[in-house]
Amino acid sequence: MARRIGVALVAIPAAVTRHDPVSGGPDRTVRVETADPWSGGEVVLYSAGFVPPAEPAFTLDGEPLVQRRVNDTTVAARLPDRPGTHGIMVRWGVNTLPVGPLRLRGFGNAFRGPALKGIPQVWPGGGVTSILLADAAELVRYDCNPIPCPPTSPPGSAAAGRLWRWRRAAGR
Amino acid sequence: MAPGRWQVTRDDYYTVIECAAGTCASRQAWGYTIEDAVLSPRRDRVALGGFAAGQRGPWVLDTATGDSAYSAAAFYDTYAAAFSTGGDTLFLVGRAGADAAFGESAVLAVDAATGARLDSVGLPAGAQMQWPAALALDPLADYLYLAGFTGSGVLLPSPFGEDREPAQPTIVVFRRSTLDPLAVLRAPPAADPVTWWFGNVELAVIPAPAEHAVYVLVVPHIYDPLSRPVAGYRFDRAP
Repeated sequence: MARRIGVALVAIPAAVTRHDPVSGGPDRTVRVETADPWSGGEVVLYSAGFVPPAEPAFTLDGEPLVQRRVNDTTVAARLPDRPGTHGIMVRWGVNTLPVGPLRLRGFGNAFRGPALKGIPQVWPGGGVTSILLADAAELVRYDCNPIPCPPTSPPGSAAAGRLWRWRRAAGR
Repeated sequence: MAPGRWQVTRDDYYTVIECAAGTCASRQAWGYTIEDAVLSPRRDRVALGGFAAGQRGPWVLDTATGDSAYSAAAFYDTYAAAFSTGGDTLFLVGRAGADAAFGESAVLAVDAATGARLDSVGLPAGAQMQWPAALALDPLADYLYLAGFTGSGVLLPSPFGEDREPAQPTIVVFRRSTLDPLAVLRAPPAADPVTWWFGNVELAVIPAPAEHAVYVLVVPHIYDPLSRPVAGYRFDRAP
């Protein structure tokens, strides 16, 4: 019994510190739980100091984020669809603290391929992206893996060769 | 589909052709605008998809018989389909009912063998698509990708002049195991100057985990009277 009381006495000051919004200390550490979040998705943030009545408010590049409380130590914030690396901050009492850079995964770039018509297909299990081209005379399959393909000329399309390589598949 | 049994998509009509003793016969044909025929990794099912407005069809076929295995009764139209890697689950995107607006599309997960409904979810707010056209599962992560066009306010010319539609290639990312929507990723309207009319193209969404990417390919439809380049859109995916 004496041992249990000793543990409780030590724990009480720690709990007080956790709720203190200005004193700083280890409970102010915010951990980003969502590695590489999706642009337009949610980021989940954890801190032992989030326990109510603490009301942390997050911003991304200074823009307030809509957030929801997941539990007493975890908050989820809705991210804008803004791919790239951004600075996320938390306003905590009278202080605004950096949480760190946050890379949002989303749109990267657009590119053009050859002038083709057909039905893009991904073969089961093969991971091969193919485009089937059909007209009255023939059916041709071009395989392209990975995307975008290295820059060599596809059959019948000189302009497209600057961006993509198309291999005439076996078994045409 | 099976020895002596072939599936053919031609001018949007899907046909099962059977050949025996050097003679082939068209066994059954379904339309209208069936543009997608996805074979299960188990090779026992073929899921049909397309912009099949106003038709309720035999959306999933049994490759052993060439007949309908079941239809996605929850849907009036089925736009696209994707099987899980093991072929046990079939994901479909479609329109919920005959009178529903295009914006009321939903994703449905069924038992691929029986068609028993496992789960479903509507598209998240802000992600209503003119045409949810392609589905794919990430082979290495718990993600389901749905690609299509969302409106952006940018009007693009159509081949018919007076019919102008917005087109913004978009991916909705779902957690595959729960169908929780995780994100809505859009290519900026000005990302590529190619002017697409959304009804005149085919779409594919292609996860490429080794490249930490997901691609959307927009390919001119076979009946497009114009010569247009394929457009590709790369989206970054977490490693």
